[in-house]
Amino acid sequence: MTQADIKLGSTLYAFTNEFHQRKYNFEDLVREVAKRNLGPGLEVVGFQSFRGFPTVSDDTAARFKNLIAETGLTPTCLGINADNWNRRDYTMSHQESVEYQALQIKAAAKLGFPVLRYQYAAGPEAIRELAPLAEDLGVKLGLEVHAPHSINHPEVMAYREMYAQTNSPYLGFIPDFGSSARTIPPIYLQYFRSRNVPEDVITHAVAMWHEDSDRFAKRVNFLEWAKGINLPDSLAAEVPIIFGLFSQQPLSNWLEIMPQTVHVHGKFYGVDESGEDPSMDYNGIIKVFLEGGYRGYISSEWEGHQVSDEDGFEKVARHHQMLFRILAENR
Amino acid sequence: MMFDKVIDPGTLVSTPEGFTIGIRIPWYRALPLSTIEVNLLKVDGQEIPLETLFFNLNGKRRTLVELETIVDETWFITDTAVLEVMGYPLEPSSEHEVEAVVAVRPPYLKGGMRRVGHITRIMKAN
Repeated sequence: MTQADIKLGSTLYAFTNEFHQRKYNFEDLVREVAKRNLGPGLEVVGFQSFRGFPTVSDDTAARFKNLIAETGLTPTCLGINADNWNRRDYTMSHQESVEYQALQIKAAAKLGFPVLRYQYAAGPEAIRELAPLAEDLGVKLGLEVHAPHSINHPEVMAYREMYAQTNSPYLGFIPDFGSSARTIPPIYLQYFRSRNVPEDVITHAVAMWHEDSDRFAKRVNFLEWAKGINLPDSLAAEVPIIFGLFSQQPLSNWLEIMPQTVHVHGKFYGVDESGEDPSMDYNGIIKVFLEGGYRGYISSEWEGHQVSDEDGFEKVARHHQMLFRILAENR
Repeated sequence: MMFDKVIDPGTLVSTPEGFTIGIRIPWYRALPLSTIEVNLLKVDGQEIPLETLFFNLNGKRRTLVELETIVDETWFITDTAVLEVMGYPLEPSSEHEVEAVVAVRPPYLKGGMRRVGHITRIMKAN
């Protein structure tokens, strides 16, 4: 077993509100990450941060590399997207999807990212076909294992089987801890209350979430239940997102794919007053990643920005403090 | 949160033909115009017929129907799109209640799931 070496970082996705609200431009956002010591790892979502992505001009690439040199941050991962349904009533063909993602792999290489995050919608066959390009360019392709998937879900197993056949060191996984959650983040329940979702509806949804049943069916089951109690559609529509953002699996599952883990999304929604994350068991998670000998970065990925206007930088700073404490306790 | 920020503050402008108002994308990344919907624009409780709107972005002026087929051009997350309304004059410096619903269809999700941004603002026409 290799000796673990866990390094921290941030994804700019955690600061979506700061960027969307134009409090910082892209370059100043990166500088702020460095200034607040929220690196050294820096993850970026291509379509969020680079205008015109996946086209990356020589000038854009040069400016990004200068920014990295100036800040001393380390580019860890570029988020790419499998936009198979960008047309209405039409799904991209296999070849279109391959070409769409090839452009993004080239963009990652041009910007200097060693790893990219791809989405399961890419499909194992497209990724199999793209592996040689990734090898040529020196960019590892990491499948994000995101809720409601677990590592054993048939759609993830299809990738694991393809990886076993391909046996390329450039194909790997990116665990997202929303898929090994222990409960719904309190910030989401607060949001539902602020939207006037009745308390008994929230209680029912949380109970459904905890049920050991097909998590891909929970959304529809909830909406049927909501119809049965005549909950207005506008309220019912707010709730089922919890079945897509969070799901459960044993933390030890991560060990199965640890040797192929090329990056990690430290998904979180908040660290409470006691210094713990109520919805994701980071004490347990970090123990598993130390035991598994993980060598790489964890990007702190605050996603509470979807339901809150709180300061993303403060959230990530608290997350880093928690991770440093847990790492120190397990040294 | 992006879903309650689909109207850009301070962007209601009276024009000789009507008015313009700035809107923001309720999503964390740039999206192709084909995935954008403006589903409601109300001024002082009166619905503006959506087929009369023009959507101005990236230096181009389009109807909402035209957006549906544009996949190679995106709405960047920090950009304000300007909706242009004809035939609905607003007195300069008058105050109005403006309501807008802007939805996006994240193109990596199968099944056309939409995320909806919705806000009502009291705004002064510049």
